Amino acid sequence: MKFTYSSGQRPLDGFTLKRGIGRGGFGEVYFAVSDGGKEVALKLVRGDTQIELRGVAQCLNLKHPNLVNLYDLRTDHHGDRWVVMEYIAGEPLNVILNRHPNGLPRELAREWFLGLARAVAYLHDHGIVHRDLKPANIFLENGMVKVGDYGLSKAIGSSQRTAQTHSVGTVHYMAPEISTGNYGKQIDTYAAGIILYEMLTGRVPFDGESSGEILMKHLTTPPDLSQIPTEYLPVLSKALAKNPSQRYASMTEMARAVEAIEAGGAASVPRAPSRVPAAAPPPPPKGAAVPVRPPRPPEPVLVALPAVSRRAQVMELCGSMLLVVLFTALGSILWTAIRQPKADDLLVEMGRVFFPTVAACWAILVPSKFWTERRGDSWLRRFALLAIGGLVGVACWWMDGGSFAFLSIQGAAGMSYFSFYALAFFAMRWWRLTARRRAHRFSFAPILGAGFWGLVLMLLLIRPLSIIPNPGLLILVLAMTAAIVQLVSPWEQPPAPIAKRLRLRYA
Amino acid sequence: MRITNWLCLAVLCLVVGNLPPLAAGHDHRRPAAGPKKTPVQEEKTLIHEEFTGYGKSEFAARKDALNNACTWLKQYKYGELNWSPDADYLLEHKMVQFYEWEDKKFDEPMGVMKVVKMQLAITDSQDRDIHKQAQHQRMKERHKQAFLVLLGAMGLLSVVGGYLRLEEATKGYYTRLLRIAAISILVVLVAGLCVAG
Repeated sequence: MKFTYSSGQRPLDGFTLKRGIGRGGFGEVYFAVSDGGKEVALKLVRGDTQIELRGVAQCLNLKHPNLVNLYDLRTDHHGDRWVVMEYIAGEPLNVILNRHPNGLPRELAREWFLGLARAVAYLHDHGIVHRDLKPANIFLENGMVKVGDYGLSKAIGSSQRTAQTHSVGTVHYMAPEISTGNYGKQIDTYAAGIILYEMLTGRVPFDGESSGEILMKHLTTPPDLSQIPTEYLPVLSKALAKNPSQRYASMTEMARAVEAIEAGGAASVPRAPSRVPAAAPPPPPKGAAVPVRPPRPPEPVLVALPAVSRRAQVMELCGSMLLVVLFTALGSILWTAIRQPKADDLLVEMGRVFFPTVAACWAILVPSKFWTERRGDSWLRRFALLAIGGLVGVACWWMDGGSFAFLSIQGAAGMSYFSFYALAFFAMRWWRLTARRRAHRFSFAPILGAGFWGLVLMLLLIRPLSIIPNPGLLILVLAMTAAIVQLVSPWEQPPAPIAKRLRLRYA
Repeated sequence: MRITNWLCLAVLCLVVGNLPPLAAGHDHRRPAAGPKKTPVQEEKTLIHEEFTGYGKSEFAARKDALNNACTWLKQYKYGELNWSPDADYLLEHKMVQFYEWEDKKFDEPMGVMKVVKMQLAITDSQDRDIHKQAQHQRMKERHKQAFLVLLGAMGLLSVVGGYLRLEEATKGYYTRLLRIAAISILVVLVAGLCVAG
């Protein structure tokens, strides 16, 4: 992503740009520092400046803890307009949702939604419709929700769409009435409903291959609420009503409805089966005694995974890869000390363990870091690992002094190496060992698994060929890989297991 | 960890620890499913060549004959292995036999010279040993190359990781300085590796 200005430039008097932090349809955003030392975000307004600036002007004097503060509107020497804003160091909600493909813990979704609702209600109270509510415009900083990007905000009074205006909002969050051109603050209620839906399920209610298809679904298709927790059904049914008059009259009202849902009560409750539409429990017959529910014991409150940006991921990966070298060197030295080879063979013996282990660990760490696990992609990952393992096998064969003469015993041995590593990578779910929230920081089970598969494959593929010296080393390499990958991957304590009674209660 | 896991781990260690000796004693070239060869067949001579060496002394003539044999082996037999046996290897493994020497008069400036005849015989098992040795040498060579590549990769990772961490910590205040430092380190690293390689 190339920005117009680079670090250290001063296109606007009084501010030094430090780095570009984002780019959108309406301009570029930079992190900058004022001459006095104040850290701010500077937005260079591009495109249809009038629309943008009109919205900004409306919001300049708004103050709310859940809104990104706008400080000023400035013009540089070239006549470009800049918006001086509060700098938010946290991540946007869409990045967090990407890491939670099955939705956020309910307690967290509820808390964050209330922050969003308060901010939007405040905007509405001041006659402003946001018009572009979406997870990418909602930021989380120190657990606090901040609604930003007022680029499209406009006064409620001028809601009639004209030919000059841009299309309003982002298609996944676009209320049906926007297509008619006659809309009001209810479009924000609708968008907030979609965001709540997404926070709870990890996906938007209406998706499609084209904008037209999605818009048509907004207009005609009722949202699929089968995966929504029961207590949220009435709220979302109302917020996502096609007719704006059937939605909540205000965001405050919607916030109250969400607030009324018992806090923490369903923080870790499994959802209803996906294909069976969830239905509200039937009301008790008249006159029957209503059973009194016993008070719920305190339940674990889940928290979202901490924000890990792409930059942080790269930093972590660099650290992990360097640690791999360190741990592998230690393991190889230990192995060589146990084996006590001849002095002439010492380094070769060490290298035969060291290089393949480093290659295997790196081959597992790199894709795992950038390929977020999603439900149902296990086989795809296995096949990707099969290919990667094959490459590792070829590299290991090369390092073991093999030649690639096809139709020869050497070529056959090379193929054995290829198959050994490809199948060993395919056989195990290696990416699980690198997961941030794996069950244990370090477990012996994967080492045993790797050893087992190594033994089986070695007996099947390597030993029959019998030109490879010390084939047992291949098992050692796999076992060490399983251990080292766990040791170098960041780990966080996973949430407490859900009590069986809780699962039964919500089943 | 449960006791069964520890037991499995112990079994695995035993297996891994015992496989190398098993493999070391294994015939590395014999196909597993092939017919079993007799010891006489094992010792079949693959290479049988005669070489002549010339020199002022008998020692020099022998050395010349050995060098001729080494060159011949490198050119015609083991060229594709990237390693072929040297004179010491041939002597150490008893692959050569000197059986005839004589004095021969040549035109000046050569004069009288010792002429040595040498028999080079390489059996099947010795040929296998040479292949193993060649692979061992290639392994050494490639480990050296892999080590250099690894050093380069580690340097790159350290520089990238360090740059990102420092850039993050300083929030872009020293971006330019950090970039210059990072690029300088990388240049030095690449130059160092080129020299070492």
